[in-house]
Amino acid sequence: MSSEDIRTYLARLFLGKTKVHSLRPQGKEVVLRTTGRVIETHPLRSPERVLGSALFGSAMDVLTKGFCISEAAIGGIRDNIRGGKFSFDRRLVVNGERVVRDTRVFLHSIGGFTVRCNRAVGRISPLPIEVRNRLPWFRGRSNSLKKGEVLLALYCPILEDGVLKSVLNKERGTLLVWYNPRRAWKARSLFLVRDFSSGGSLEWKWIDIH
Amino acid sequence: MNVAAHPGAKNLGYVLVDGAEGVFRGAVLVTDFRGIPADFRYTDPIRPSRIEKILYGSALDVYLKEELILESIVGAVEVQPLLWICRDADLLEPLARLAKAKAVLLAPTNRTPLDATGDMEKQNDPGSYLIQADSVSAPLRISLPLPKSKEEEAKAVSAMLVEAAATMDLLEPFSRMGKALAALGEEHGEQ
Repeated sequence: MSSEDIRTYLARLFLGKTKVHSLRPQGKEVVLRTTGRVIETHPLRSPERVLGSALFGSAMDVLTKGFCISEAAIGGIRDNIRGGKFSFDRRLVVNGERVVRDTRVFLHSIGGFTVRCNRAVGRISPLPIEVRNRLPWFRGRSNSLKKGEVLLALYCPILEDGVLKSVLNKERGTLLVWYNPRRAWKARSLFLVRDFSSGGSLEWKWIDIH
Repeated sequence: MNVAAHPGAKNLGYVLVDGAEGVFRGAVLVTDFRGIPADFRYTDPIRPSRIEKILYGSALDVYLKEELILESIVGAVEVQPLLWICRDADLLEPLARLAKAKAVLLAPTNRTPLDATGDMEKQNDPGSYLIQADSVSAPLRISLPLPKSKEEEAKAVSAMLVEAAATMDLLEPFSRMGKALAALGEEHGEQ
């Protein structure tokens, strides 16, 4: 046992003291720093500038474009629209000064529909009248069919005495007929028949259906 | 099928107003009871701009078809028909209001023919009837404007249609009008 140990032993025994050494960290304070960053924002647009009306004078004109909506179009829905009226305020006031002259306000209607009716009876008259095949609804039997003849189509009514020209539209199964209106009075029916007794040739036959 | 009355002295008026693909146009064809044209009017096409469509909203279609085009073409006709015929249900009421004659909606059916020519059959829809206009076709459906949809009115209209059907196909003029409009459109370089 060393002399230092004997000294410590005797000090504890008689003096009741223990030597305590402090570890106070002088000048070593902890610094707290935030990790948050400040974001700098830079607008891409150029700064707005307000030009006073004095630059242009108080006589500048304003062109107002609007629509003239017909009363007929609006009438039915007027009650459902708050205010019920389309209008444009033509006053422009800057700092309490009116800078637009009332007398020079232009109103242009870029809406509003106009209808032009054209007369073209001469363009539709040359078109043929298309007569459809009525055979699916033909419930009678024709006495004009001979033995060996098969009914293929029935076209009616056709004004027999007024027919100028007729063309069978095989694609649609219709008959295109051009008439002379001055002679077309008597309506009859036209059968298209195939005659197997004479080699299967096609024939047209006028008949009357009652 | 000889017709005692003069079929060239009475006229039917066919009305067509179309607003397909944003282009509005209309046409009227007045024919005699043989289908021979007596008058034909058509409107130049109207193409509303996008902003006009927005401003007018749902009123645009009704306004252009029923007020503007229909009124113009019906008013422009010089040969007045005994009966106006349309195939668009929306046009029937305004047509009846504008026209100086009776108006009817005419449509084809696939129904079995009625017993005899001139027969009528009342339908569930108010003012709607099936009529057998001739002996070799399916019955046609006619609809009358509601305030006038009395049976007497339907019989009068039916009698006219039966008389005309003896010498013409009642629905055929609509297809002729379509062809004429298509041809006129091609001439003017329209789509």
